[in-house]
Amino acid sequence: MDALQHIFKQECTELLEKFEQGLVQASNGNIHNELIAELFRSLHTIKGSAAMFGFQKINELTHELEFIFDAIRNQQLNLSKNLIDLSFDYIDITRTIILSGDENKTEQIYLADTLLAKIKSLPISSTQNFTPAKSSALYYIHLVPQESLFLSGNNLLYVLEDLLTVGNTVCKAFLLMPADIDSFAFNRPLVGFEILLQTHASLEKVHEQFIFIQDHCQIQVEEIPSYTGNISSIDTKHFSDYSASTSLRNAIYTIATHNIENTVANQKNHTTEKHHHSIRVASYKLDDLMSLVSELITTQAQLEVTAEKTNNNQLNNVVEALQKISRRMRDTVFSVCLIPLDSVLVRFQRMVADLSKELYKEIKFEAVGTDIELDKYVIENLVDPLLHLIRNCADHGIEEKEIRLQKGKNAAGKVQLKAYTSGTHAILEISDDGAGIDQHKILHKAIQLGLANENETYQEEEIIHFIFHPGFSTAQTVTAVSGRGVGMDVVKKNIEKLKGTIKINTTLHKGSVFTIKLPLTLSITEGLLVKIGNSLYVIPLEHVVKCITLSTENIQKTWSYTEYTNTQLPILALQKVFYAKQTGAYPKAVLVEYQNQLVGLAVDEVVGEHQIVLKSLGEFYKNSPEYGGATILGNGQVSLVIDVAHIIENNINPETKFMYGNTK
Amino acid sequence: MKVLVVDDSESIRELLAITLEGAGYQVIKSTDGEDALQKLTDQPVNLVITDLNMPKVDGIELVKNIRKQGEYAGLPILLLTTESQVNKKEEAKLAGATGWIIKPFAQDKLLAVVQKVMR
Amino acid sequence: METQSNQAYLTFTLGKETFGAHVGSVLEIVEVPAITTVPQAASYMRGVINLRGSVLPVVDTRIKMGLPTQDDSINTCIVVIQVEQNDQLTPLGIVVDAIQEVIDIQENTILPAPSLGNFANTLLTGMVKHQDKFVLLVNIQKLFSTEEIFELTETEQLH
Repeated sequence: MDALQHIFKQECTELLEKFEQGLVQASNGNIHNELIAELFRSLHTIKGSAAMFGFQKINELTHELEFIFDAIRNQQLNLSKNLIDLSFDYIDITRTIILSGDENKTEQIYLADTLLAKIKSLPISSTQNFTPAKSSALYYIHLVPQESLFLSGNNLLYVLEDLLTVGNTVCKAFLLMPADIDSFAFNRPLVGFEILLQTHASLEKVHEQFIFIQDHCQIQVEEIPSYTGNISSIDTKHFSDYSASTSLRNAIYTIATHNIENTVANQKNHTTEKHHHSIRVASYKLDDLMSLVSELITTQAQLEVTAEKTNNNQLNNVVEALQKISRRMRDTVFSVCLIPLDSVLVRFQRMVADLSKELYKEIKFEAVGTDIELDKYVIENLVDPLLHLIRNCADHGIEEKEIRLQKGKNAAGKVQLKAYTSGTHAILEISDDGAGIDQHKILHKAIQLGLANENETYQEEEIIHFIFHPGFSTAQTVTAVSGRGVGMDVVKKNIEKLKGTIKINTTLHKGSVFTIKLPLTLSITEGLLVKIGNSLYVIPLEHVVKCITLSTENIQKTWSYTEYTNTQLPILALQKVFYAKQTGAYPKAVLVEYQNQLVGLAVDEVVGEHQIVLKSLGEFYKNSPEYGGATILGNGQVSLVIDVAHIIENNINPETKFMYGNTK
Repeated sequence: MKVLVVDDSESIRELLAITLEGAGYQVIKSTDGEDALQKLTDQPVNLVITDLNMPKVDGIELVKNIRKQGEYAGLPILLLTTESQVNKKEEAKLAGATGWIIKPFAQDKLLAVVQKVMR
Repeated sequence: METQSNQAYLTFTLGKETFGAHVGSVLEIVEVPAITTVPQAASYMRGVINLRGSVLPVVDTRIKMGLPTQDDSINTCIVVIQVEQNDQLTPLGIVVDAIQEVIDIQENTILPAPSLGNFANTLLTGMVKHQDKFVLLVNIQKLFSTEEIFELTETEQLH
């Protein structure tokens, strides 16, 4: 039974998260039938399980809320802002109960009953309209019949005809060409269909249309978001290419995208909602899978070499196919372990929204670049520190509205989470445009706590870093939100556990920036594969601006310069740096950005772009900062990843601090 | 005796499975109607217990689909639901459901119902 | 009667000497694959290899021990050992001329280690006679621990 309880808790937590995500989406004004149905279903499942596992209060609460969402689903009620807020409260209470595993604590009963009363007192029609007019959805259906369809007694044309009773359709056929003339047979389907269906019906209803043939066809139904036009106006003449099986899809996406640009300009900062349907997998299984794939790639590379020697074309073809598959497999497996930062974003949005209410401050939360993908473990361990920092920004950073106006700032404060990769690191910046951190206060407190000596002078940075000391808090009044003096030291510890660093930059009255730098130990980035001497190296693509061919036949010195768009471009010969013998004349230069100027890195050959999985070189190469790590190439060879900034720095003349041939 | 248990809630699914397995039944688990139909074609079962509200193919659709297949005309199918959906009872009956279990249920009650319909 | 515990040692050759390493610190033995050299790193770091999907640093044991370098032969192989690094065990590859065998050594047959010019005595734990040859027992973990390697790096940099 304990194991069951555990499953129940986990399931309930996940459902609450899903429900919460849906609510955030709804509170952004992005309400549609599918979403409401999903919200309803989450509640429904919670209710059923809660009752089974003896959580009577949760059952009761969920039942009331489910009733409300049922009414919304049936369009008797609009999802108002008030309702969304109540639903958020519901999530909080339910979460607390689930976490404690005991719903009979007085405090929780009180909270639950208060909310219950609120929900019950809701009028069945709410005043504040939040729901946009119900519009029809557009579905794209891709249908490929299989041989068995002809034996099943179904007629595809009738099914297509039936679709017309559901909504408007645009239908395009495409040819299913057999791979070669020998496999041509009359009992094989030769035509597939692309269908656009514009309808008020739900996705389930659409699927329902294919119930009788779904076992004999490959059917994919996807919803085309943000299409607002009427498909009967689409000119089908454009889609007369019968060899292409996705031309209609491409076309409708093009149209739909234009739609977004034209009509949804006000949603500028919206990240596209991606639905992550997911399953849970034990992480050790992923680790096993990872190492197996790596082994597969290595073995496959050996097979490739062996096969080449045989001159057996048939064998070589098979090996080539195998190579393609194993590469795709590698990419997929690697990506399985990465999740976007976006996946936890809702918690930050939620918190800022809550804080904004609680602190009577107007706070906007902005997320930039949070589609960055990081290892699941890293993300999981980042949530708490990030929550804490964001909370700090909102609580301590952002000033009261009146003070902001006095300072000539916008009444609404801004807290931003910005993520990007730099070299072999992921950088996360949490910033606010608030009061900044008062150094005098920090120093004063530090002296009080005996951390600092009154008679000593401290660097600005040293002073600020006192706040990472355990037990340090300068909050003037202890709020419920933050300022209990636990936190910043824990934040620092947690980040150090991820082998990262944290820095603070603050300007009084302007705001603060917390910068977290994390190594991308297991991260996929794009790299440019180059050949230097007989070895392959990788230059991270984010630094690369351009590749040019040098006019000098042979490079003689470590630094030289070349004329490029009317300036003298410094060229660092990596052949010299790596003691490699130049292979081939007229080397190429990869132009990279270094401290806001262009620098060329001379290489023998530019091989091409390559998706790399960065691996650390480990402690033994701690003294070789010119490499950001290594990666294993498709053929199983290890290739070094160049750390652009370090390699340039290391080769700058230490006396002149200047590159030879710098811009004059 | 094989029982196919269909519910999108993992906890309920496991609870049913443990209860039934404890009573000596062999349990096949499924997460939604679509998957359940697939599992049914893979292997014959003696009883289906399904949730009503599920993604993809819901409980009533599942019943309809099972009844459509001639070989399962007589297969007992029990629907699991919460009391709030009682109005769906008629619909389920028309679709061909054998019986009805209201959540929350006691484990011995469940077994009693199961034994009754299996006879 | 006194019970004697037997200890298994992997023996390998480097130049003329035969060394024995306790099997407890040996993970596996692999053939020498293509080694990616890491330019500008310490000279005794031979480079890195792909060991089933992970990047394994490889030490040129000859250079590390002050022996003259020589080209790899058909017998040359890499012994993957575990070394301690920040209180964690990390794999490291060491290139040896040839692998001999695994021998059982009775503790009471271990003789004190000779003093050899190139090795600190703490690195050699003893010596045994096996089939008319002397096998030097080496504390492989200590020999290749990162601390040890860093010490050398620093002294190298001083010159």
